[in-house]
Amino acid sequence: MGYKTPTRRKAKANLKKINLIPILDAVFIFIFFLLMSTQFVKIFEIGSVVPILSNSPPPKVKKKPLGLTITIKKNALIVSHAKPRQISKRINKNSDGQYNLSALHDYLVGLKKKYRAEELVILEPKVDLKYEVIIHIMDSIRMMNKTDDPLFKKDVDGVDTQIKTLFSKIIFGNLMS
Amino acid sequence: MARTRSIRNRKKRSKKEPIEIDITSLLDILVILLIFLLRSYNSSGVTLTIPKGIELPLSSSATYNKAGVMIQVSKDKIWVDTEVVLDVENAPKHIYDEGGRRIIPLYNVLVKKKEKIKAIAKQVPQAQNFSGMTNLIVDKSLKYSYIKKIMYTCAAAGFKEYKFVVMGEEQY
Repeated sequence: MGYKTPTRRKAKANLKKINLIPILDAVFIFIFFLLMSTQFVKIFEIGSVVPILSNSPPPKVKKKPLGLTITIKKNALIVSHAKPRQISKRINKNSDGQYNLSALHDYLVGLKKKYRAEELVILEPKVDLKYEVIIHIMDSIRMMNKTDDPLFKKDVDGVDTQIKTLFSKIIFGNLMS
Repeated sequence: MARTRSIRNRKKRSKKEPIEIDITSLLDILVILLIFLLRSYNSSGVTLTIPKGIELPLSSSATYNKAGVMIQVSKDKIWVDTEVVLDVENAPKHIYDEGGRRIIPLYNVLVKKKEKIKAIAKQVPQAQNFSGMTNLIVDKSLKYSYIKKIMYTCAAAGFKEYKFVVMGEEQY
């Protein structure tokens, strides 16, 4: 009678090391595929507040606000301010029929140099523009570009801090009309 | 052969070495997954639903969204928090009032929303107070005259702040 391997020992002998490498390779490729096919959609926002209509006199402040207003007309962008109330700049459309947003931005950077604490701007579209165009105009009004000369202002502790926004508080002036 | 089967070596044979799994490649995958998750992480915690038919405009803005009532506007529909409030095809005859500036169905839904938020804030101390904020998810091809009506309606319903939801330019 020959030697018979005990059942327990037989079972142990059957345990084999699983080769995970090809599976992991496949998962690795799958992740690359996932990464390549994913669209990293970044959704952001642009804020605006409702203009307040009131008959009461405005609150007294030490410094008169700039009252910057940008009127969007059919052929041009008109920049005006209330100190005194006057048209300070007219920026005509480019030869390709688009609004000259870089000229607007440059002019506003110049204004920001003079009025560093100012954030408010009133936007008055007088023409029925596409929403997309309005957003582009708002972009050129709101933010300082990386290529702009850095501007600094003193914070509450008297430390110079870089100004990152141009005129970031946008109010639609003709909303209630 | 005889040596392995001997009783003397039985103990040695029974002590089998544990299975070793090479986890190097697994860790590689985990690192990539981590980068993937970090890259797509949004700290705002706001979930935005963009219905079919709405293409958001591109913007250089980098301000993350805040929670608020969501108003989605496409060429033919208006939703409030994914509930259709106006479908141009099946709309009633008179949808505007106040000289064509206010959209009645939108106004009614927004007023109800406002009252609901206020009622919840009264009953539940942990609930957020009414912020008056609206997230406007508007199709980029729509005209200002229509958006103005939506903004006016929001203001009339007591919502004092708009957030125009845009798509970041950085990703392109």
